[in-house]
Amino acid sequence: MTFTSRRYRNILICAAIAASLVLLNWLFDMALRDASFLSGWLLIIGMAFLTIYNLRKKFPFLPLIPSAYWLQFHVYLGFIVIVLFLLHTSMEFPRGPFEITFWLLFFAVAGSGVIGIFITRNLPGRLQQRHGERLIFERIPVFRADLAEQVRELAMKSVTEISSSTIADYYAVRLNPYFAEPRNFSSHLFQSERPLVNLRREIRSIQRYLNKRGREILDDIEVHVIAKDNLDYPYALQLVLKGWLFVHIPLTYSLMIFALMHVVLVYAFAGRTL
Amino acid sequence: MGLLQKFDFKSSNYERPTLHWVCGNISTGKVCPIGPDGRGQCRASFECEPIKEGDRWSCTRSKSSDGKCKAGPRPDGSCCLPITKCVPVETVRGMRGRVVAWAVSLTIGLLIIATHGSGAVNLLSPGGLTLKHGEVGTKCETCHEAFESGLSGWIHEAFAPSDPAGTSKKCLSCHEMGAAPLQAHSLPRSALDQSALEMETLEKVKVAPVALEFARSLFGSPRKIAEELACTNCHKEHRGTQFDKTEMSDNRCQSCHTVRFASLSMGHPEFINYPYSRRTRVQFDHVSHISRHFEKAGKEKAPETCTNCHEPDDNGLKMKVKGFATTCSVCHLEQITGVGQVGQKGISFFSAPGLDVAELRAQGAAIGE
Amino acid sequence: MAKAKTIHLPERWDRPFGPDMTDEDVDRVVALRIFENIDESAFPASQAFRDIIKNDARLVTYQRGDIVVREGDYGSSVFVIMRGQAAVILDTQADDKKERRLARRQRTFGSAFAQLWTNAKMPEVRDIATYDAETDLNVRTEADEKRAFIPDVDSFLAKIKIHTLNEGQNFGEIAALSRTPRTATVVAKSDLEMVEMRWQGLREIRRRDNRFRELIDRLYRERSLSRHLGESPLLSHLDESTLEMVAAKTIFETHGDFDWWSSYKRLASKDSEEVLKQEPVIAEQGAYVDGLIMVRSGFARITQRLDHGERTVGYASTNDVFGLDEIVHHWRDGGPLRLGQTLRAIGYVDILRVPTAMVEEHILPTVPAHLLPEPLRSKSTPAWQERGDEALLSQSLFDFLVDNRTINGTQTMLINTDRCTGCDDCVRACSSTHNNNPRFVRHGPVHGNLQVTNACMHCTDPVCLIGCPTGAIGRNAADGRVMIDDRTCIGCGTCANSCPYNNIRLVEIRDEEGNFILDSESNVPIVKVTKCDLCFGQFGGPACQRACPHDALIRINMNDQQKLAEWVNR
Repeated sequence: MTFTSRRYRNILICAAIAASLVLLNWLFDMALRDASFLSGWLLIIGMAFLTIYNLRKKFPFLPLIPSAYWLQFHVYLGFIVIVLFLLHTSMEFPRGPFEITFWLLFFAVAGSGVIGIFITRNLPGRLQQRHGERLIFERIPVFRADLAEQVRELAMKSVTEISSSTIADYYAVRLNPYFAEPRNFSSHLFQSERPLVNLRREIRSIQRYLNKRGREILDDIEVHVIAKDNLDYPYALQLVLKGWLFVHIPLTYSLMIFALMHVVLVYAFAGRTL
Repeated sequence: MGLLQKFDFKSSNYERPTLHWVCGNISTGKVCPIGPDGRGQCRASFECEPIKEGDRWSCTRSKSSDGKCKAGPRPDGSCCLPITKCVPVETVRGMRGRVVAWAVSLTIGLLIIATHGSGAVNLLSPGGLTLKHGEVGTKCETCHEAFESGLSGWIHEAFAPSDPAGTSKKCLSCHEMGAAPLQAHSLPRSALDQSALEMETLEKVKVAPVALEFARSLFGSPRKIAEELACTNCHKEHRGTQFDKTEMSDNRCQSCHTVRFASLSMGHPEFINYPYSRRTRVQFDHVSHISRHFEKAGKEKAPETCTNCHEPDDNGLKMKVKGFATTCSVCHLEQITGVGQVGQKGISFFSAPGLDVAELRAQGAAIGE
Repeated sequence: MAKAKTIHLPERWDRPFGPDMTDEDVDRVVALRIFENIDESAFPASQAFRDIIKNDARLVTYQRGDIVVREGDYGSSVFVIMRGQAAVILDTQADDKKERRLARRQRTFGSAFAQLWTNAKMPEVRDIATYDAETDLNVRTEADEKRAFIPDVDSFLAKIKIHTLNEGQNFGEIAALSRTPRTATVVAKSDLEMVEMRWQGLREIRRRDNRFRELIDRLYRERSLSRHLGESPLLSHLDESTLEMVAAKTIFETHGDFDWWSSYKRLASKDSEEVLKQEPVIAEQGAYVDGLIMVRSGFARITQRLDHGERTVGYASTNDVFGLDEIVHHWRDGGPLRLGQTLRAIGYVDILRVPTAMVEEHILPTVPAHLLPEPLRSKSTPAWQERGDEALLSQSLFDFLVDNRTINGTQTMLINTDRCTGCDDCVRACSSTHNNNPRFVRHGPVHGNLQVTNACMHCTDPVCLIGCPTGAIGRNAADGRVMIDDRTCIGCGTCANSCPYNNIRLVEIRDEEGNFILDSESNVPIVKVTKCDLCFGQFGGPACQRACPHDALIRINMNDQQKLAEWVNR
């Protein structure tokens, strides 16, 4: 089964389940029950399932269901839980501060999840686009440090070899900061090469003040500048790929604590008459 | 530029994402072999630990770290190459673990403040009350008895068994609902059973909505499982000042009423004695009827005494109006049913002013030119 | 700084194969017929013949009915009978009835779960107490096997075809030398006393003594041939006498370099033409089909000429045949006996060549129609097109896998880089199952969106085993996974250097606080080699594959081209 056909199948199943939940909720209300108890408990169970995916990851040594199946379940259950949440809240914005925070937390977690699955499926293919290599995120700074060192040496060499400080000055003002850390995060994210094009134009603009040897060194520097840009690109993407979980996971725990509190409040004060 | 990565074991060792801290020199690529300890402290010391061979100290640096150094150990037996201390950095996962811990403690802290502080009322309230209820008071405990007992009391209350009567007690302290306040329509069981019996005699209409039948078979009707319903089952609060607490869908009526029908126009049983013993809501203008309409309609249709239209109730305390069939219908039935009428049926209460085009044209008035 | 813990640096022969070998035992072994002509002067003092026997051999006794080796098991030792008789079971069907031995130290559920908190906090932590433990000295997994036996051995052996081995005869040398599974089951016909020698010793003696080498190689060829012919589905319908006649005419050949990995790393950087030149031609396109080629072990590349180049159209490994299409075409339709493709040895290949006449006369008439290939079709595919329509992998990917010899892997870790987000869940799962140490690195050569990750592939031909001086690295008897015994490993790094795929890594071991454990003599940190062990003893197979949330990682047998294509083309 290809990923595409699996996706269609799962969307179909997911939509069918969501529709039957809407129907169930309507029928429950019709039977003179408080439908928010039904949707509420389904929500709690659904959210608990979504949360324990993180727990499953802590037990790779147990013969549990493969994580890939879990993630499929997690993604589609996530969409169903959003539907349940809308049902539960009657699509209204809440009024009290507690409930507003709760509501915002839910949509922060759900929203980051939706964005997360989108980038999870879209960014990886782009990671090796520039270098043709798949780099380990933690090692990118090492490669960048190597490039920076090589460029520094080139700049130093230019001083002695062409007895001019043009390249060295340019290095000190522009290149040294450029190589010091990852740059142009947002441009890389949106696939724009404008910063690189600008920088290369700037490098080319000093070419006319150099002799032959100086131009060779400049060419070499430009190669390093491009290589650095090619490193920044997967760095930016990997940062996003790792970053969204910094929202999704911590807020999940906050959300679950709020959900627990909500259950207590509802049962204590809303009249327990299911 | 060629490929950056080398895969051989000499150039690339295991990447360890499970560790919390890594060497701070990672960004320069000169990572020391020992790495930080579990608390993120750098513990780099020297590149090797010299060993005494006879009376000479000799270097023990391993081959993987370029082998023995040229200078060799110091005379006192210490290594000549101290490693520069670094500030270890957190791994991505280490950082995330810390953020999770922060989020959890922050949330719990916030909730403790929200539930224990004096502002709990404002923070926890799920929304404003309706206008009338708002006048009763803004304190939670006015309606929610358990509120005063604090968080532990709430949890206790939350786990207590279902109790519609208890929950509705506070409502009933203001709302006088008779002897059976939590029964349907606040009528005693006997009256409901009586009415149900009457309904049994009616011809059953088999056009009940499928959904309703389905809901009933899935969840049963409330009367079967609960003798009483709490007020809050139907009447919601905390939905703002303008919320209509009494709004109810047709379907919800039918979940109890044993005779079911698709809609008012389809399958609704014949009204018997409608509107029962309730006075009509139509404002009857005695003055205009006696002075104008009865004059026009003629003596035979006009009532002769009060009791033509009015009758005392069972205990003789109140005067009630007789039903439509014996009163209004004498004159108005044909208007309503449309017998012998020209144009639309019904009584015209007002008509919109219009242009008599034929008359205007006959008078030679210029219209629309 | 706290005083670092030190232990004695382990060396070869620190752990003799049999710890109880006395000099008298060695005398007895040396007197055996198989060793009687050994020229001891050919051995250097550091590797004296008697020392090899003392350290790499041990005396073992089996009771009547005991199963000594079982067909299909991975063994790495040779047996020589000193007293008694052994029966080699030639009837493959009879073997199925006996259940397989399991040499797994399977964790309990509790101990698996407890890894959540029992795993070390620091990298590469070792409990040095276990290094000193005197018990369980025979650390190879064979030592933990429970010995299986056949209760009524006489009536069992009476029913089936056997070959009896007597005193002085040896068996198991095929598996020990060629890194292949045992080719037959051997049962103790009477009470047996034998000398068992691990392959390091066998290899050493074979290397030093020419006559011994000739003897071993002759046995290897003879036995490999007779066993293998009977296994082939094409020949399984022959009666015994015909099979023997065919065997008598069949030629056994070895192509390529048995030590192929040493030249491979140099080759890897060369262009495709250069690579092909280095691969010896076994049978060339256009040549007369002199026989049916059956691959015994190793790998072969199948190519087809296209303009000035060669297009790789397939690869053959153990049990694959070459030239059958042409022979059948000739036999059935009278087509020409000319090979349509070229067969080249990748690394080393053992083949059997059954003469064409034999095939047409004796074999083909007995083969059921469904086993015969379809009538030949025009097999030309234009240069610009991917391989023929039956091809499931793109030509470039196919070339990549063959050129890099990824096809050697039985548990190759492939990662789909279009789906891998770099979340490191696989690496963390690996760490969690290996005391907080990952056993692979999530990088490796990439072709398109396919990354051949640097994790042990558990090769069909595990060349890493070859150089190991202590036998610390070996194949697990039960399932063929390649494993390193940490206690026996001396950290010499020979296997890491031998591995053509960079999948073995050296680590400096530490105590619980994370301080290096030093050699007590030199103060140099003790080094061990490590690699993937497919989560040995854990539940549910390799944790990496189960831990991947994105369906991006698979451990796959490269011989299963159908599954590979399905996975790649998802």
